[in-house]
Amino acid sequence: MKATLNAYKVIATVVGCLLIVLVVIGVPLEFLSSEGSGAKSAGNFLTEYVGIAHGWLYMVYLVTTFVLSRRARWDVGFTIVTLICGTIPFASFWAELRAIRHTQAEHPELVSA
Amino acid sequence: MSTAPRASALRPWSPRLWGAHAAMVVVVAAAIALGLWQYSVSHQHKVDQVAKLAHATPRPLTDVMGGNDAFPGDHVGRPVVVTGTWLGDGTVFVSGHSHAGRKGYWVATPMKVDGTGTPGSAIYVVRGWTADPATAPAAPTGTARLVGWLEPGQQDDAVGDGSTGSASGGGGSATVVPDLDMAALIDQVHTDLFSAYVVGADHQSDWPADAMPVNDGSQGLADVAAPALPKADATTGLRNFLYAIEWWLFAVFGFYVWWRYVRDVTRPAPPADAEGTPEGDPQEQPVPSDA
Repeated sequence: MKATLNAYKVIATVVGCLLIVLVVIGVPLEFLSSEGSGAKSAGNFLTEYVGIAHGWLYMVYLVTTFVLSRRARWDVGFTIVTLICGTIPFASFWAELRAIRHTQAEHPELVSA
Repeated sequence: MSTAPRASALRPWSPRLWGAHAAMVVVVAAAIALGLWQYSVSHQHKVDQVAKLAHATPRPLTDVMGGNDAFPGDHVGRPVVVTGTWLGDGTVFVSGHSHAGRKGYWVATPMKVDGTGTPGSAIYVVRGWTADPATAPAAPTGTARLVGWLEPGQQDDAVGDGSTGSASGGGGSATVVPDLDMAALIDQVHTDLFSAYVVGADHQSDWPADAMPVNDGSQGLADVAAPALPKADATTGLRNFLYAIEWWLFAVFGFYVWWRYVRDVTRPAPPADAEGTPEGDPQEQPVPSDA
């Protein structure tokens, strides 16, 4: 389960960061900058490729989180909140911390570094 | 997922599971629908790009290819401006083309292209469609400047209704060919031919084809659609296409979660000494320290 928890930490952090790049940087650049400007094309690039990467990594996040939820015996509500928070910028980091603490509280043997 | 087996296992159709069943149906149906939506968005991006390329600003034919060049593959369907002199005697009728449900012919007349030197090269221009060669308008004469879509010459692949023939009409006989195969058409014009032909563009008020053509030879003939359209980039609409696949994978995921949940809560309670080990972590139960 330790490996699963570590995998969860990595994928949740990566997905959370990509989501912020996408929503906080890419989308405003694409839609707020003027046509033909460098900012516009940078925004296009970000939403295109970061969008694709985020979409697929979110799928990996879903599966990893689900596997962890079963191994750590999370209840249904906790699992669903954690999965959904992965789609909300910044909230994903809160959910990640919450999930790690919850898992370590229930399974103290995981805390040892 | 509280997966601890219960003393009294639920039946799959127990009312207490109806909520889970309904949630699964809603999630899976929504994910499939969202995938279809993203797929159509992706397709629309491609269609839009093709339409944009097909109505790009026309470039002079001789900028795109020379009279002796192989067909430039990435210019299929590109709008070009052709300037030259009609060679009316080379007019052919290409059989096997329908228009609005009626069988008929493309009417194609070669034009000697300006700027290709002496004796120069000619290119076939599909001026339009007619039901009957006998009633087709006479081939245009003189010089012309027109906009059309560049298409690669057709290969005679031994289908169609046979080789070059003639159809008798009121004003004499017309040459009927099965396709625009430049190797065969060279006999009609006695000059070099481009390895391409041009389909005269329909006239649209917001596009140069409207203002340009003088003597474009399309009078009395129906418009012909370009047989091959420009290709959209492989990456056009890619993001939405991948989103569509992700939504469908999400539908599978939702179904899987539901299936695992229902299976866990409906499993009969195991004997006390077996201490139920839900699948997925068979070896973690006994020893707490797998760290």
